[in-house]
Amino acid sequence: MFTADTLANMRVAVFGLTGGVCLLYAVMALLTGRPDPMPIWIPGLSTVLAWLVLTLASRSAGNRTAAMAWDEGYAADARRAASIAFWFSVLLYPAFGLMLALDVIVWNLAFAAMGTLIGAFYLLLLAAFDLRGPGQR
Amino acid sequence: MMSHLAEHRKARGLTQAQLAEAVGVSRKTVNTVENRVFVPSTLLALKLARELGVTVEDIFVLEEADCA
Repeated sequence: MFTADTLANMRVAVFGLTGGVCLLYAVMALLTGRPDPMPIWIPGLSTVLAWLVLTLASRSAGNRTAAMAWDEGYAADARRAASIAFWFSVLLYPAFGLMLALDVIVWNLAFAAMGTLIGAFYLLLLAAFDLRGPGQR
Repeated sequence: MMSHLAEHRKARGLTQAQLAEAVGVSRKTVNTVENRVFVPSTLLALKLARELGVTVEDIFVLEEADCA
């Protein structure tokens, strides 16, 4: 049986890992100049697996424990991560627009990199905010 | 906002995990409230106060900066 602490720790690991996969895809795409530096289904599949793992773990923990783990502290972290990730995503447009205008990258590469960067930034921010507060027992 | 949650919790002989369980949140949330990283909702503040047998004002105190 999972405790709220276990679920919270699992959440950090899963979000961090999924964000890391997305970031790796984006970085590899930009470095290699290929929109498919690894199989294109890997970022999507890792996101679906993350959802599945966290959903199944939360359900097996029971309603009260799941509610404790996904409480208002988590909701505040998620809102904060989303608000920062939103502006990061907006800033990607002029950045990639400039690179496209200068012919540094091509459209399909920009599409792949921006998509995975947006996901990576949000998930890694969320994991970082979620990491705060391990503190004393 | 100043938080005296840790003092009141310790005075009641509770761990963060016990207090978190009693009010239905994660231990991390209790810890971030104690460390002033997170300002709880009114509902959670009232639950914490009730659990500790004090008033919300005993736990949370406005500072000068909050009133500016």
